Amino acid sequence: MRLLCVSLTVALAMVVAGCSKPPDEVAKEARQSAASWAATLSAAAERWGNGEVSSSYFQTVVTQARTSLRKEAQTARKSAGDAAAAPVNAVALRAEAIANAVQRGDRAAAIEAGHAAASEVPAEKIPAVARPQ
Amino acid sequence: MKGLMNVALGIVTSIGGFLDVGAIATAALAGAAFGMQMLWVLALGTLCVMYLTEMAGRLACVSHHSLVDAVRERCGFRYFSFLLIGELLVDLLVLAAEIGGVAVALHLVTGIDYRWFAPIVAFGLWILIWLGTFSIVQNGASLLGLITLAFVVGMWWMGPPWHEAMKAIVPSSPSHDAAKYWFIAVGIIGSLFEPFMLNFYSSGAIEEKWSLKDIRMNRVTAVLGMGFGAMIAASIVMLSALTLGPHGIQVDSYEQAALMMVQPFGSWGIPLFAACLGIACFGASLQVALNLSYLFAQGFGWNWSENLRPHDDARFALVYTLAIPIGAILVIVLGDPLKITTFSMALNALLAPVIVFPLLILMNDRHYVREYRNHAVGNIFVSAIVVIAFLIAIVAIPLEVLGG
Repeated sequence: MRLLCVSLTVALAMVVAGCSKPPDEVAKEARQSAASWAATLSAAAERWGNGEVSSSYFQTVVTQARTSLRKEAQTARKSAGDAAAAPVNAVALRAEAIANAVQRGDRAAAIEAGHAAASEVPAEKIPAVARPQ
Repeated sequence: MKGLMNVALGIVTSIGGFLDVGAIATAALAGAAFGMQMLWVLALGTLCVMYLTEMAGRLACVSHHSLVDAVRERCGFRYFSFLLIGELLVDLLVLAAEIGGVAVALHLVTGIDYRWFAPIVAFGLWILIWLGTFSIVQNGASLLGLITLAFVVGMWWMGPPWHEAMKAIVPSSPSHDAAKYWFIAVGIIGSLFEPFMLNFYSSGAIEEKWSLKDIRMNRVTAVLGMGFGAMIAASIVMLSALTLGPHGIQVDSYEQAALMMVQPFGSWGIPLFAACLGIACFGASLQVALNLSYLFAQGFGWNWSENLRPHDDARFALVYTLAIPIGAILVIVLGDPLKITTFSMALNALLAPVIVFPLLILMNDRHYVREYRNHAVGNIFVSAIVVIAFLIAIVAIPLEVLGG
């Protein structure tokens, strides 16, 4: 029981210690999230263009991306300023364009906007065989 | 022939128990973020969980006690109360994650907000447990769960680099983002060491009246069942590593994870992913809900059996009748099923010592297991893994929670 109390105290101390996250860390995470969503939108748009995924699924991806990006931009702006939120906003803008393309049923425009998002905030590609340290 | 059928059914059942929302989510996360590098965590955890499951079954075969029943008897009511509170909180969160998994699966194929599906899924679960027997609940869901073999087919289709995959079984430190790496590692361990699974397995052994003659079948079932389950989870890691990571796609939502099936299966990919997720989570939520009833009924000495009619074990039925709607409400209130899943899996790792150490005590107690006691090597191996996972969880959970 004593061991458990000590462990819980350590955990609580770590929570308190970790409360203030450095702004550059917040900015880095915001960029990573934006890049991942940009890559997702690009891949999903291409699949939708080829008829490999349904319109309802693609719409779901776009909606989810817009919701996540909106939250991410708010967090980044609050903790690290407008500059940190800029890449997130850029991808969010492209997501908006894709959403409009989906509504029009314009597959070519969706693919183009997806590619634009991916090239605007390029994602770090993780090789299947990551090099361990 | 009947014995062989029982073993086969046991293995299928174990696969169903192994693969749930936690295993699918953490494996997809690991593959997208770190390639195949985390396969070693899965391999180590699987060895450990094979041994733990075998122990839980052996305890039931020899002592005719379920795990919770024996823990309460051996460690006293005070310790049981502590276990009850911990497992109640974690199991409710896991139940929410499983219900959320089914709801997300339906959302993926219909496009309708997953929150609308949570009460419908909860009602379906409740009615099945209320009307069904143990074998229907257990074997029906597990047989349907064989659809998750689609992950293995997909991985095979992608032609993975086997040599590199084998190398990844050797433990290695993270190539980047250490906090995320260890949080996912804890999540993988937590998805394997789900405390509910151990008690559910031993309660199932009691329900099916296992005895000394079933000890060998229990061993085969634990090793092969968990082994096959791990093979499917490893396939998810590899599939995610081959299809998501190289495009820079991280798994922040199930919508992203579903894309892993499109490359190998084309237009069948999303419906297949949804079917795998939905069925695996539905089977697991049946088990979690029933385990909560087992936990209370065995701890407080009430009548219990899924094979009894609800009016013959009313308090047993009352527990799952209350737990299922609470799980559905948590899905609606907390939102983001993937976050609920990863967090609840990490909590599983925190709770694991509370159930594993009493199990080790029982498995070395001649009064309970007579000459069928554990070997020292097994005790040390399991203790080491559980303690390490617990310590990593203590450090990684706050770091990752605050990191979002």
